[in-house]
Amino acid sequence: MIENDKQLKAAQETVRNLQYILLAARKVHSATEYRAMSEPILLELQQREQEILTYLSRAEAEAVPV
Amino acid sequence: MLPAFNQDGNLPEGVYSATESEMLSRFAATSPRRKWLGERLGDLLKTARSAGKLERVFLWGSFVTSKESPNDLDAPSVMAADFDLEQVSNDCRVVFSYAQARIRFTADVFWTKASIGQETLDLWLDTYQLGKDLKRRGIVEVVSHD
Repeated sequence: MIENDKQLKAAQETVRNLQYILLAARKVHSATEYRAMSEPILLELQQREQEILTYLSRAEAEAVPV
Repeated sequence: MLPAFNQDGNLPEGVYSATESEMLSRFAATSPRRKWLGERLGDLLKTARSAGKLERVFLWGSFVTSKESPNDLDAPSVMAADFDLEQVSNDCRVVFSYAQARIRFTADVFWTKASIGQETLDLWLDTYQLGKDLKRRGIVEVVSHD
């Protein structure tokens, strides 16, 4: 769970990296291969994006104390 | 040689090489769950190698931490550039299906081909050194020889 802005930035960087990896993978895998190999990365991407949305949906006053 | 765990129970940030026997003695011996996962990993590696195009295998996630009972295995692998999933036998294909690999090996099998390029592979390995707890942690590459 993201607890502060520093962790938010790390999660956002992870999302950018995963998207970059998927874009690169689309170029070198057949359609069948890409559907198979992208699945765990897409799930990771979805999870990270959800964590970012959860953090951003809270007001700063509601932030979990570190 | 694999380094000691840090205070968070993780390997220090980095990519470490270990033979299969080193890796199993370190991570698949200290609890019944780890022994069981080690057997699944052995089956996974044997099946993946049967494709004849396996170039590199890594381990990341809770299996390569000090956690007594990891939930599962996270095993990214790199296949040769000329690997063709359509040519793989049905028995071997289970490795490359996310759902089937989870059922048979209790593993999230991430895979790609060497043609994705070293720069992207390095980015991938760097990205997955950030754990779910948002702390940096090490990855293990399983190698054939010292």
